[in-house]
Amino acid sequence: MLMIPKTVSSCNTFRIFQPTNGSSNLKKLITAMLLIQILGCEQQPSNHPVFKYYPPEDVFEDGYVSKYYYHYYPDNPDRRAGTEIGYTKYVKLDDTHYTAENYNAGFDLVSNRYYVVEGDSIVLEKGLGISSRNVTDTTAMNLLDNTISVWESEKRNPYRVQYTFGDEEYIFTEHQVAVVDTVFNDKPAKAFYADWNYSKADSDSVVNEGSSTSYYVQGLGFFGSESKGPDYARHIELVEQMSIEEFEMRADHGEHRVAWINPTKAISDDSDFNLCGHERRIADYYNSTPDGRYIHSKRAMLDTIYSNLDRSKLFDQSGRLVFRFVVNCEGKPGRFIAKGYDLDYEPMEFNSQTVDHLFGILQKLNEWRPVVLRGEARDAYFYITFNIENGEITDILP
Amino acid sequence: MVKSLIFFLSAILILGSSCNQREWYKKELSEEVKKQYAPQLRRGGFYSNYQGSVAEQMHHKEALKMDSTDAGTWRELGTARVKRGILDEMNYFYGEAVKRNPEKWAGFRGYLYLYFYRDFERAIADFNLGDEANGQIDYSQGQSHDYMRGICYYGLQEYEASLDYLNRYINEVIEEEGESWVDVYAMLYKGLSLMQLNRLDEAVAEFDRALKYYPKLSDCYYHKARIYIARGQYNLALDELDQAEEFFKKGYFHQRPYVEVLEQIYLQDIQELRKVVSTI
Repeated sequence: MLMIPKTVSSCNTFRIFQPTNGSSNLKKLITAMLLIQILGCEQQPSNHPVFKYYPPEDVFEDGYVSKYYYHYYPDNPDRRAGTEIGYTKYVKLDDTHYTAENYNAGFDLVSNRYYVVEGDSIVLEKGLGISSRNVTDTTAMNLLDNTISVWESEKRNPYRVQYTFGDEEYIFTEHQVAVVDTVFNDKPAKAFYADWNYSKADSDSVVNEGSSTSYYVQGLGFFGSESKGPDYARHIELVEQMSIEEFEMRADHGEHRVAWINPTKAISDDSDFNLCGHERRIADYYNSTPDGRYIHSKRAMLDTIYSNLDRSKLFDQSGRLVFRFVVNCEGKPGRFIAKGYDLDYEPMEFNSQTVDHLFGILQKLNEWRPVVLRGEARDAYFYITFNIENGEITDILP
Repeated sequence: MVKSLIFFLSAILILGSSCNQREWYKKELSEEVKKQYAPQLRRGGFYSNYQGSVAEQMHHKEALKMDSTDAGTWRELGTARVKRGILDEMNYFYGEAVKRNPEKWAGFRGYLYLYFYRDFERAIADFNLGDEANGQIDYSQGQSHDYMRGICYYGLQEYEASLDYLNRYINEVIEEEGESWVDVYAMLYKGLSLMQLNRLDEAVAEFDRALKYYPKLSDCYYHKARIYIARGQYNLALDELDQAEEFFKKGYFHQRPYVEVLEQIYLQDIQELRKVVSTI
């Protein structure tokens, strides 16, 4: 039982083949099959005015991810350039529709877009922003004129979308000035020239304006752009493309924010402890002014600690014993973990009686001032360090 | 015949599977561009991301892939860990930064050892290392190394040395910029060192000098009250405590973000001292 490709265009499917008699015929047949195989593997660019500048149809349908660098170059040499990493996952849904999901460098979804290709035009049907304040919230884009680009004819209407910044409403307007055939990496490409501006929604007064050029390259899709504002330039640069499988493997990194506390590792009984907000919205004690801290002041905290301290439980050890925990929006502490360090900042084990004793004292401190951000009480990470030298507490920080 | 048949069919199978393998685009960056991008990525991590978030940390990791010699990125990886009590990782990342650029980061690490860990000896060693690398008494986080050495020696209870370094800083600023440019908290610590050395008149003069530039600084009134109590001048002490309490309640006292300062005063300290005077 032998297998050969079923069709010239399919590399993935095979069917049963019965060999014929005669070696000559067989060789010819096999050679022909090889040629068919080779030709069948070549992805022929689409003739579609838009899709021919995207990856081949099978790739687009399976979905692919482009990794971009978003560069910011200020004109003022005293200000410094910066580069942000972003990923966009593209999936073609049917003959005319595709989606683009945008992820940050930590592989969190930050926005998505639904496009429809109508003739030689790309129209943004819908855009959603994912709230960083509440990761379960989405905000729909307020699209006023939603044709993004016209690829082979003159574009008459600008693309317009309304945004909210702080308490103000602004409108972003982009006029496609020209589209030009060009070449990138020896491949046919399209260059879109545009003028853009931000204006106040209520007065039409322009607050920021500039021009941009965007590039689409055959087989690759959106390749990058160069945009010039009043006193800066922004460049988007395609640095890598990958399959969705590869992207998802990278996204499954298992990393957490610095100082994340795994609730399953907590030494505290947290049966009555609950977060007020989402896990990803836990702030840090220093985020508010004044800081989150023990409600009766640090002096009162020290008084409680020293008045309950049994020095015999400190033995003769030296190092720094750090308790980290979460204070929820109601000022209730929980999720305690303890970690010891020697005087050279290397991890060390403190006597379990020392840990238990100091943890027992910390549990007496049950009234904390929560972090308040923009008038909202938030869950936040806290820590307390005991500096211990030869069984004596020399400092309690921070 | 059978062998050639197997050969051809194997070739077909290999081609059949290899044509599934798309050669994904990856831009090759020159070493020069990588060196340029590394600090850009370090800075770009903050544009939309919270410090210490996975997204922010990913920028630093990418920056180090571009240029592992970029000391600023090593330092940046330590920053969130300093603020959040992850001591071993803080020390590792700052160590890597100092190794690569002691001129810039030794003094900065010394600042952290002083304020976040009260590790005075390490702080002094770092200030010395930074100054040696730079060939001058340097500043880190806007504070003179001499000034911070003075605080370190105060923490080590070596008050003569503390006084010496605080004087070096104060006198240098007076000479170069004028007294009004001296950090009043250096005057506060100088006064505290003088108190520890039992040079109380000079301590009062130093606190008064600080009050000349920061008339509402509660700490100075509080410490003056302590001196007056020691001298039995209770009425004067009560006057000072009144001022100390009034200004403390309005938030005019020595404090720093993130950490308690050395000899931090609290409202309870002022009120307890008043009770002491009242019971005499």
